[in-house]
Amino acid sequence: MNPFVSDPEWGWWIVLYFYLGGIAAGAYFLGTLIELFGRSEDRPVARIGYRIAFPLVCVCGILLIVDLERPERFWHMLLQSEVVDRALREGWPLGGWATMLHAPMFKWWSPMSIGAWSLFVFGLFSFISFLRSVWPEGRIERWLGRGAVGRVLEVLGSAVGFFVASYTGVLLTATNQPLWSVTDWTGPLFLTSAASTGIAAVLLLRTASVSAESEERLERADLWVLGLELFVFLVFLASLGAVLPLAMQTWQGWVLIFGTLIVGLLLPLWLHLRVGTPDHRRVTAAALAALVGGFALRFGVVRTSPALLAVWQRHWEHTGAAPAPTPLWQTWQGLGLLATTAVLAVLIPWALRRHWRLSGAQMSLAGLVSLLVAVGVTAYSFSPDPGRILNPLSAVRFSPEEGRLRGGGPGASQQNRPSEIHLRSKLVGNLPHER
Amino acid sequence: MPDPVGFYTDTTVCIGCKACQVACHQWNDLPAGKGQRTPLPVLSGDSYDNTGSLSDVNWRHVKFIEKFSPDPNRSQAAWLMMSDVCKHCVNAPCLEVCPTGAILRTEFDTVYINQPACNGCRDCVTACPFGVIHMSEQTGIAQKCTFCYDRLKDNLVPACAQACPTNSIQFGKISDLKQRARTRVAQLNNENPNGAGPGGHRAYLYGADEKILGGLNAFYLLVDEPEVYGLPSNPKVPSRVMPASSFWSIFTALMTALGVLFAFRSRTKQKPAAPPTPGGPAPEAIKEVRP
Amino acid sequence: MPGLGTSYGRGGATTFAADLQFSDSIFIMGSNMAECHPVAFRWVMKAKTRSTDRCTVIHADPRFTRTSAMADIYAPVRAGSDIVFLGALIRHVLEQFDGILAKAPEQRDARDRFFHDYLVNYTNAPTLITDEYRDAEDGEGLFAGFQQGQGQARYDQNRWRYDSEPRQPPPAEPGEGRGHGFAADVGRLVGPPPRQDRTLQNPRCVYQILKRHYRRYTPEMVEQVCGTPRDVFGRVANALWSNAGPEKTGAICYAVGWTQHTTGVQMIRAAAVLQLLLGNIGRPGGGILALRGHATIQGSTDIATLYNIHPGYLNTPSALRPHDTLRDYIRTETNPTSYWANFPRFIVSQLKAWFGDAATPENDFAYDFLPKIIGDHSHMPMFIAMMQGKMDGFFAMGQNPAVGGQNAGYQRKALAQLKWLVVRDLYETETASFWKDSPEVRGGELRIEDIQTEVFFLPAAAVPENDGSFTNTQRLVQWHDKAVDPPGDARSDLWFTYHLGRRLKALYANSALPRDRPIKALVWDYVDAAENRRWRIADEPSADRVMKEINGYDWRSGRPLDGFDQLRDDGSTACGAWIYTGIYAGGTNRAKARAGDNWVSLGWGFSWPANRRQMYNRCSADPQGNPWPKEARLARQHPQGERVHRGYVYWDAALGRWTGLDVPDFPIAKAPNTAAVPQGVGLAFQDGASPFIMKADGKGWLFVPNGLVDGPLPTHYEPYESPVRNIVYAQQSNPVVLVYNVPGNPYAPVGSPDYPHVLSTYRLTEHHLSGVMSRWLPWLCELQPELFCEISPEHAAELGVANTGWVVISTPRGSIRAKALVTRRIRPFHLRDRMVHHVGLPWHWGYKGVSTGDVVNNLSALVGDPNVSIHEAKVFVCNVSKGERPA
Ligand SMILES: Nc1nc2c(c(=O)[nH]1)N[C@H]1C(S)=C(S)[C@@H](COP(=O)(O)OP(=O)(O)OC[C@H]3O[C@@H](n4cnc5c(=O)[nH]c(N)nc54)[C@H](O)[C@@H]3O)O[C@H]1N2
Ligand SMILES: Nc1nc2c(c(=O)[nH]1)N[C@H]1C(S)=C(S)[C@@H](COP(=O)(O)OP(=O)(O)OC[C@H]3O[C@@H](n4cnc5c(=O)[nH]c(N)nc54)[C@H](O)[C@@H]3O)O[C@H]1N2
Ligand code: SF4
Ligand code: SF4
Ligand code: SF4
Ligand code: SF4
Ligand code: SF4
Ligand SMILES: [Mo]
Repeated sequence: MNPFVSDPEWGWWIVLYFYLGGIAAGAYFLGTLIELFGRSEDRPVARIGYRIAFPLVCVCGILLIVDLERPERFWHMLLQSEVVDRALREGWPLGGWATMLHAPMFKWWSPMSIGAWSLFVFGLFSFISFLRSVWPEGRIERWLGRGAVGRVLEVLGSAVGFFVASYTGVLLTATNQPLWSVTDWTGPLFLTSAASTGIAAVLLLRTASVSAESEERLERADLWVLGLELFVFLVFLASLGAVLPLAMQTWQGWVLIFGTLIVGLLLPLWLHLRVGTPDHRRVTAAALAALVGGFALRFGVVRTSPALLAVWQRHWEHTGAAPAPTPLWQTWQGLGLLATTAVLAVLIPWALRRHWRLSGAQMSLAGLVSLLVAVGVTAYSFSPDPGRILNPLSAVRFSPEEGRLRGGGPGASQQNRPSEIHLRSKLVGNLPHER
Repeated sequence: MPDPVGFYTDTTVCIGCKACQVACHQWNDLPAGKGQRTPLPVLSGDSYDNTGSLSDVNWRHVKFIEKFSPDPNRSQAAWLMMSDVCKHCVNAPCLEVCPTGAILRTEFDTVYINQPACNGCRDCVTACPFGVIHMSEQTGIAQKCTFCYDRLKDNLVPACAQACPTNSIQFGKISDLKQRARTRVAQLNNENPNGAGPGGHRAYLYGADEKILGGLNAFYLLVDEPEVYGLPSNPKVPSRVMPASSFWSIFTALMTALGVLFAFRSRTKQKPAAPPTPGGPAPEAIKEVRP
Repeated sequence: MPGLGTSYGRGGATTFAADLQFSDSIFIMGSNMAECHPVAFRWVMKAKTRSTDRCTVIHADPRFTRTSAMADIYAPVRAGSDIVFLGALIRHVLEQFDGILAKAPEQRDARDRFFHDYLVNYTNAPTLITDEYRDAEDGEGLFAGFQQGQGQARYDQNRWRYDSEPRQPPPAEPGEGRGHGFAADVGRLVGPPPRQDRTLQNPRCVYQILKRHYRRYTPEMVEQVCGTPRDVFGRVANALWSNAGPEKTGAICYAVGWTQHTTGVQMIRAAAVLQLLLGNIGRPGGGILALRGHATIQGSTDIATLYNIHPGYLNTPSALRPHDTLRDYIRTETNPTSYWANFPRFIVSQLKAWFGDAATPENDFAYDFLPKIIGDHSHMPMFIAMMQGKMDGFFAMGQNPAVGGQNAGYQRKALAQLKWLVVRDLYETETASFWKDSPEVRGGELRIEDIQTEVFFLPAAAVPENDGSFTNTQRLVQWHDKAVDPPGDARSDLWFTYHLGRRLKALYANSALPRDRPIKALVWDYVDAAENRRWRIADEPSADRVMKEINGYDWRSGRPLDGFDQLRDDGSTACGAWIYTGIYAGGTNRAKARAGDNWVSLGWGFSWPANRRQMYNRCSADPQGNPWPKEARLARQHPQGERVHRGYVYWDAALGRWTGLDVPDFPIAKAPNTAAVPQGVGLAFQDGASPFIMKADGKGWLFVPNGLVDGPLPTHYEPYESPVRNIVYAQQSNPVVLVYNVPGNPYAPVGSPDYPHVLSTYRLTEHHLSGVMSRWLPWLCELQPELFCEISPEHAAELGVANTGWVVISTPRGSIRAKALVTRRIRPFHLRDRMVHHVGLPWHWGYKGVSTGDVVNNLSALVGDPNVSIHEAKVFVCNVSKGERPA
C-alpha cells in the first residue's frame, strides 16, 4: 500500500455517480438481455429498465460535470481543447475542418478517458431505448426496435451497459490510492452491484403490466446476480490483503464490509429464497435492501481509501515504521473472511438446491462458481502480496507511457499539445538576446 | 530536440535552509501557504518542517527527519534533510491518466501541466504515487512544479537549483548527473565502510535507474529507506492493472449475463393464472417469438 | 575583535570562505554556520565532498543543529564552558610538542621540524615574561596585578610585560614645536627587544607558562564541566592534530556563540592560541574565519560606528588618557616597533580628510576639533544613562533595540525617558512603536499619556535603492549599485546623514562659539550632481565620492592614492580610513571588480588590507621563505593564468621579492634572512621571519602581555549567571566583568534553585535578527510561523509538557510564553555536581509584523565582557513551567 499519495477528494458527487450509473447500466443491460433472450411477455420488464436507465444517465452526466473543479471545461474530456482552439481560430465552422477532425480526445489506456466516451455512447443508446419504451408502437420502435437492426443495437447496447457498469471500478484500480489500487476486483464487483441494484430498481418500479410470472423470473435473476455479487465481494475482500485489517480500523471500512455484506447481499438473498411465493412486501424489501447495500458498497469503496491515509500516518507516528504486510490468514479478519467464505460456499448451493430446485446444469454451474470462489479467497489469503497473484496479464504493456525510455518521444501525452506554451517568465522580453 | 534535463539531489549536503522553497515561491509568484484556521500555518511540531507537504502553492517541500536514539548521550544521532519536488517521472502516472491531455511531456523530458486545458477532474491526483499534484484553491486547476519551463526556454537554471547554496540540488543533463551521482555514492560508501546513513544504511540512488517508473528525472541520493523520506519503494504506472482488471470484468459480465439468461429461460413455479394481458397473445401460445 | 587583534595584530577574520574548500579539518564552534552563514557554508560542503582525502567537519555546540547534521564529529558542549574544551585541546597539542622537543633535532622528521620552526619563529613562545608575573594556576584563577578597589575591579597589565633590559629614560626632547613631523617622537618610543630562550626550557618562557597554565584542563575536566563524553573529545583532539602539519591545514569558524559571553574575547583568544600551536595561521585551508553578523557588520567596525574607535581602528581620543595634544595622543597610541609606527600618517591624513584646509600643521591638524570620550558609552551603559534621564535624544538607524537589545523591557522603558527618538527603518518596528504597542504599554505598566518621547519615524531606503558597499566577514568590500529610486520620501541613510550635517553647518554658519568650529570646518562635499541626473532624487550624496575620501588622495592634486605606504603625516595626503587605501587605486572603484577564479579571486572586489585575502600569509612559507609542502602542492594545482607559482606566498630569490597566489602580507622586498635591528623603527625592528607585522615583536602572541583587561591567557570562568560553581578555579566568574547593578536588571545567584536550567538564545535560517526583515514577509513567516522553545524529551517529561504545548520561560528580568518543540536534538548535560537541562530560544519574534510573538530578550540581562562590553546573550539561567495559552 503506498501511503504517500494525496487525497483526490472524490466525494458525494462521485459516490452518487457510481451508484446511479450502476443502476442505470444494470437496468439497461437487463432490458437488452430480456429483449435478446427473454420471452416477449417479459418485455414490460425491459421497458421499465429502459425508462429507468436514460434519466439516470442524464443525472450522472450532470453529477460528473458538477464534480469537476472547472465544470465549464467538461468537454475537454471528449475534444482536445487546444485543437478546438486552433480550429476556431481557423474560422470553424466556416473553415478549419481539417484541424477539427483531429479534435477527438481518446486515450484507450486511461479509464477516465474511455469512461467519458462510454458514458456519452451509453447516453445515446439509452435514449433510443427510452424512446422505444415510451412509444412502444412509435416509429423509433419500428425502425430501431425490431429486426436485425434492433438485435444489433441491443447487443451493442448491452456491451456498453456492461462497460459503463464496470469501468468505474477499473477507474479506481488504475490509480495509486491505498485501497483502490491494491485489487483488480473492484471492476467486477461494481458490475455485479450494478446488476443487483438495476434489477432491484426495476423490481421496485414494476407496474401492473408485469405479470407475476415475469416478476418471478426477475426475482430469480436477482437471486442469481446477488449470489454472484456475494462471491465476487468475498474475492474482493480477500484480494485487499493486508489493507483489509487496516480498513477495518475505519468506520467507512465497516460500512463497506458489513453494509454491503449484510444489508446488500445476505438480507436480499434470504428474502429472495422464498421466491415463487408471491409476496409484494417481501420483494420490495429485498429490492430496497439491495439498493441500500449497493450504495453502502459505492460509498465504502470511495471513502475508505482516503481514511486509510490517516490510519497509516497514526501507525507511523506511534511505531516509526510502516504497518507490517502480514498475509490475511495470520490476522483474525482474514480468518473471519475464510470462515464466512467456507460457510457460504456450502450454504448457497444447498439453499438454491432446496428452495430453487435448479436444473442439473444450473446446479453444477453454481457449485463450480462457489468452488472457484473458495479457491480464490484461500489463495489470496495466503499470499503476502495478493493484489497481483491471479494476474498473469500484468506483464502486458497496455499504455505507450509504460516502458517509455527517457527522451524517447512524448509517450502518453502526444495529443493535446498546445501550439505555444503560455510562459510566465518574468524575463520574457527582456533577456539580452530578446532586447 | 534538447537533451533530457533533470535534478540530481544529494541529500547528504542539504542543510535544510529552504532557499529552494522561497526561490520557487518568488519566481512563480506563488502565495504563502495558509493554516487551516489562521492566516499563517501554525508550528507543526514536526522538527523544522512547518510546511507539511507539497501543495498547490508549495511546489518544493523540505523535509526534516530526526533519527536520534533515546539514551542521554544520543549515541545514534542523525538529522536527515531532503527537498521534495515533482519527480518528472519518465513513465509518468499523472500524464498517463489525464483525460484531457493537459499533462504533457516537454522537449526537455519534463512533465508540465498546461493550465488552459485542465478541467480539475483530479484523476492525476489519484495517480501520482508521490502525492505531488494538488488542486489550486483559486483556479481549480492542477498545480505542480513546472521544472521552470519558462526558465528552461530562456536557457536559465531553474530557480530552486540556482538558489541552493550547497549544490544539494544539481541541475543538468541527466547523463552528466547520473555520472556525478554514481561517483558520489561510491565515494560515500567507501569512505564509510559501515554505512553513510543512520544505523549503518548505505548510500544509494533513488530513481536514477529504470526500476522506478522508468527512471525519475528528479532523482535522489539517499542514506536511509525511501519510506523514511516519505517516498514509496516501488510505485507503479496505473495502466499496469488494466489487462487483469478488464479480464475479470469481462468474465464476471459473462457470468452475470448467464445468470440473467438462466433466470428468464427457466420454468417458473408460478402457474400463469393471470388473464392474458390485453392485446398480448394468450399465455399458452407464448412461444419464443424470435429465434 | 580584540581576541584576534591582540593575538595576531588585526581584528578581522584571517582567512576567506572560499579557502575552506582546501581545509583538511574545519572546526566550527560558537557558530551555527549552516543556518547563519548558509552561503559561506557552501565552501565547507565543497571541502566535505571533494574527491581526494576529503575534509573532517567538526561542530561543537550545546544543541544538535543543521550544522551538526553535516558534521563528521558532533561534540555536545554545555553553554559557557568553551574555554575548558579549548584549553584541553591546547593541553593535548602541548603534550605532542613535548614529544617533539624531547627528540634530538636530527631525529625529528619533517612534521616535527615544521611544528618546531613554526612555534619558535612565528610565535612569542620563546619570549621570557617578567618574574613579577604570577599565573592563574597559582592564583586560584587570578593573574598577577589584580586590584579589587571599590568600583570596577581591574588588572595592572604591567605585571605581565615581556622581560627585557631596563629602558634608558628617553633624552629630553629639543624644543619641539607643534606641527613638524612625528618620526622623531616615534623613534624615541622604541624600547629594548625582549629576552628569549629559543630552546623553550626557561620556566619563564611563554611555552612553559602555557604548559603550566593548561595543566588542569584535562579530558576528565572537559567531561565534568562541558558534559562532553571523553571519547567524543578524544576524536576531536585527534582530528585536529592529525589534520595539521606541513602537509595539512585546518580552519576554525566561530561567531557570536563565542563572542556573546562575559569571557567571549578569551574564548576567541583560546582558538587563536590553538591555531598558532597547530601552525594553521596564515596558510591556505587554515586560519580563523570570524563569521560576522549583519551583512556589513565588518564594515561598521572598519568605518567605525563605534564610540571608541575612529575609522581605520584608531582609538578615539579620550579625556581619561594622555591625549591632550596631537603629539601626546600619537605618543600614547603609537606602537613603534610594528607597521603601527605609521600611526601619525593615518591620524593626520584622517584629520586632513575631515577638516580639509582648516587642518594645518599649526593647529595640530584640527586635532582639538575631535570630541573626547569620558567613559564607557557602549550600548548597555548608554541605555542605563538613558533610563536615568541623562539623554535627550537617540537615533535608531538600522537597529531595533526594542527586540535586539538585552533586557529589552528595561531598554523599552529607557526609550520612554527620552525627549526625542529618531527611527529610520523600512517598517514601523517595535522600537518605533514602543510607546503604543510594547508589552509594557499593553500590560498597563506604562501609560501612553505618561510617555513624553517624541518619535520621528523616517522611512529608510532599502539596499537596492541606493549605491553603497558591503564589507563581509572576510574583509571583502563588494559594491552594490542603486537599482531603483526609493518610494515616496524614503531616503537612504547616506542622504539623511549628509543633509543633517549640511543643515547643522547652515545653522552654525555664523556662530562664534569654539565648540561649533568643528562642524563649520567639515569639508562635507559629497554631492555629485552629474551622477544624480539619472534618478528622481537629485540631492543624493555620491557614495563613490565617499569611497574616494575613504581610500585617500593626494591633497593638492586630488589623485587617489594606490596604497597606505603613500600616506604622509605632513598634511599632504587626506585619507578617511587608511586600511581601505588601495580600493580606489588608479582611480577605479575596485569594490566593483567581478573577476573571480573560484579560490583567491584577487580580481573580485577589494579585501582590506591591500587586497590581501589570507592574512599573515608570510607563514605559508618556512623561515627561509620556501613554501611548505601543502602550499607547494596547491600552487602546482592552481596556476594563475599561465604562471605556475611554487607556493601560496614565498620568497623569489631571483626577483628579490615575495610573490605567490596572494598579495604578500609582508614588506615586499624584505629578505627572509634579514636580521632584526634592535633600535629599528617600525618593521626594521622585526627580522625576516616575523609574519605578524602589526605586532610589536612581529610574532603571533600565544601570551598577551598587554591589550586585554581580563588576562594574558584564556582562563575558564563560569558565565555570570550559572547553574553550577566553577570547579576549575575558586574564582567563579570573570573577575573584571562589567556588571550593572541598577534597578530593573537583577541577576540570579550562582546555582539558584529558582532558575535551574541553562538558557541559550540563537538564530534560525528562516528569520533575520529582530525579525523586521523576515517577519513582515509571508514567504518567510510560513517557514517558521511561531516562536518556539526547544527542550529535550527528558525535560518535557519532567514538566508534563507535550510537543507544541505552551510553556512559560522566566528569568529574574521577566517571563515569556512559547510553544515547546520537544526534540532529542537537545540533551540533558550530566556535569560533575548535577544534571543541567538546556533550554533553547530563537529570539526573532516581536510584537509587530505579520508573525508576532513574545520578545525573548525580555529575559536576558545587562552584563558585559570587560574588553568590548559585549552582552552575555548566549548563556543565562531560567526556569520553565507548563503554561496555558497567553491571555
Ligand atoms: N539566518 C540568519 N542568519 C544570520 C542571522 C540571522 O538573524 N538569521 N544573524 C546574523 C548575525 S547579526 C550574526 S551575529 C550571526 C550569528 O551567527 P551564529 O553565532 O552562528 O548564530 P547563533 O545562532 O546566535 O549562535 C550559534 C550557535 O551557538 C550555540 N551556542 C550557544 N551558547 C554557546 C556556548 O556557550 N558555546 C558554544 N560553543 N556555542 C554556543 C547556539 O546553540 C547556536 O547554535 O548570524 C548572522 N546570520
Ligand atoms: N538574546 C540575544 N540577543 C541578541 C543576539 C543574540 O544572539 N541573542 N544577537 C545580537 C547581535 S549579534 C546583533 S547583530 C543584534 C541585531 O539586533 P538589531 O540590529 O537590532 O536587529 P535587526 O533586526 O538587524 O535590526 C536592523 C534594523 O534595520 C532595518 N534596516 C534594514 N536595512 C536598513 C537600511 O538600509 N537603513 C536603515 N536605516 N535601516 C535598515 C531593519 O528593517 C531592522 O529593523 O542583536 C543582538 N541581540
Ligand atoms: S511525481 Fe507525480 S506529478 Fe510528478 S511526474 Fe511523477 S506522477 Fe506526475
Ligand atoms: S485535474 Fe487536470 S491535469 Fe489532472 S488529470 Fe484532470 S485534467 Fe488532467
Ligand atoms: S524547478 Fe522551478 S517550479 Fe520546479 S520547484 Fe524548482 S523553482 Fe519551483
Ligand atoms: S536550497 Fe538546497 S540546501 Fe537549502 S533546503 Fe533546498 S535543497 Fe537543501
Ligand atoms: S542571507 Fe545574505 S548574508 Fe546570509 S547567507 Fe544569504 S546572502 Fe549571505
Ligand atoms: Mo550580529
